[in-house]
Amino acid sequence: VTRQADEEFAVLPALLAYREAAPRVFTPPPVTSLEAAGRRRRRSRAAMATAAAVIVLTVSAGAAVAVLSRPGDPRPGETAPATDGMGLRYSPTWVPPGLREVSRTATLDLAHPTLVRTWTTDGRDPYGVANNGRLQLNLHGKDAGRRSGEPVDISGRLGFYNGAPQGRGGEAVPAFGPGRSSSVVWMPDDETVLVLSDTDLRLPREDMLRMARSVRPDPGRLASPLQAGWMPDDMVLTYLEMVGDSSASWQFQLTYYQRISSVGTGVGDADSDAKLNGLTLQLWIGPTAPARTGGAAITVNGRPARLVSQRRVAHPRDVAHVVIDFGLGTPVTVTGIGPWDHADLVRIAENLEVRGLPDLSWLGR
Amino acid sequence: MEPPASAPRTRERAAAMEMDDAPAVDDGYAEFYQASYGRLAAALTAYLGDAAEAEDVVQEAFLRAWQGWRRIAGYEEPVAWVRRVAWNLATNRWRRLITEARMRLRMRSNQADVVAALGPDSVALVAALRQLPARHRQVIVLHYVADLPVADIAADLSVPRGTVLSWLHRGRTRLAGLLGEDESPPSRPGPTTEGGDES
Repeated sequence: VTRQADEEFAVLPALLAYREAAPRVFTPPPVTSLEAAGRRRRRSRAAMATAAAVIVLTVSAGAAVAVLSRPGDPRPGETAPATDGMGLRYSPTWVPPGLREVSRTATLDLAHPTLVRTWTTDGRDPYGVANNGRLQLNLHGKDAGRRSGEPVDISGRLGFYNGAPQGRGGEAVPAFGPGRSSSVVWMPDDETVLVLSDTDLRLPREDMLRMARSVRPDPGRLASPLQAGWMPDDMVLTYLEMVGDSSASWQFQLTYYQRISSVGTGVGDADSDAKLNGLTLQLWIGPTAPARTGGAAITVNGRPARLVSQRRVAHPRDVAHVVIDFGLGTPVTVTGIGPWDHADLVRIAENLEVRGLPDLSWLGR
Repeated sequence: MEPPASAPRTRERAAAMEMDDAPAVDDGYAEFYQASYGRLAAALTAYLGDAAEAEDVVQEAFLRAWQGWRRIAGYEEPVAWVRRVAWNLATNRWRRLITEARMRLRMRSNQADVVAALGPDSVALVAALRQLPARHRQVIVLHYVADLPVADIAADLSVPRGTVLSWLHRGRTRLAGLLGEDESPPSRPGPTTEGGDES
């Protein structure tokens, strides 16, 4: 039986029914009782936290140090590990007409790093769902992906095609909600899973299989033009992404997350609450800086720069940018999200190596 | 959350300071609270898989909003502030350690109440959600239950929009498999910890 590619969207009615019905189940307690309830909770939590802290400290002093570290505390820094990017490993040699590659995103903090490449029809918004369909080639480790569906031969390897359902006349059957998809999944070698997926483009089965069968080994890399020379030692490089549609419109980004969230905070203010979510750091290069104009003029290793601090009203997290002119004709930006010490951001900027512009040759092709 | 035990400010004094800052109840807070509570509690229940724990974090978040209401009422979206605090509380690693221990104790006694209140379909959905990786579960709940656009979730989580879409896709697919395997709730529900394959 051919598996329906829209199966994943069959869960939407259940989710939407829950969204409509579940809120009515919960009755808010009187406002005046919140404070008393809060006091009880705080007492209870303090007792449990104390007990849990004892357990953690007993198990491992090293682990306790990691768990008890908190954003905002002075943190020893270290030389950041090399960021040389991620190998593409496989690339298609044929892409359906009209599609252009607009993004390459590597997720590095997993047991098996993944790479997602995206093609769209207009190139302007690689992430659009409702208006712009997209075609993605996902490269995963061997344990990823559900390998089921219609068995197909992909260059001598067993693959599975999951297609959009067809009506009697071959026309596509409307699905629930946006996002129709089909996919091909196969293992080009014993350690790698490739998933080619179409969302909203409604590509014919023949095109999906032709593109999958055109995939060949590729020694190319999603190489980073940026190398952090200093980084607080609990920041982990998680994403490496290049997005754009032409040599005039692109952005390369590295994203780091703090490894461990904090244990405790101050009492009840937004600043303390924001600390719970840890720190995020982004390094950018591209024709347009992510920061607003203005800010304080500074110098970074003698280069003109500006420090822009802003606050997201809807989301109480501080955002600060250090925008540096390296003389490349495109700005480089260090962005800290969360309660960053601005001096740390400047230090990261001072130790940042810029190797030039990223590879722009594949953008929009 | 509590300050460290060694902090010079005692808990009692801190609580008193909070009370001094608390506004009158009739300056728009009550209406905001009544209108927002259920949806937030439902979303956090879907995320945590435990209604009592969800109400605990939501009430804590609303308490903090009450204490800072003069400031928060001026925000463009006060409910976004409360949602952020509630999710921070729910996703806090330290809290998770405590929560899991609590839930093990609570599981049997609460299950009947949850089923009665939410209905078996919702319980099956919540149980299936709990088997998703945390990030997938979070974006599924934020998008489909809390009704947040993908762009807002991406900004909130500080990840690229494409990542949110990828997590949504993977979450939906996994959820479809879980709900399609059996009409009954999974036999061994349990939250998936961070660090799995969540691409």
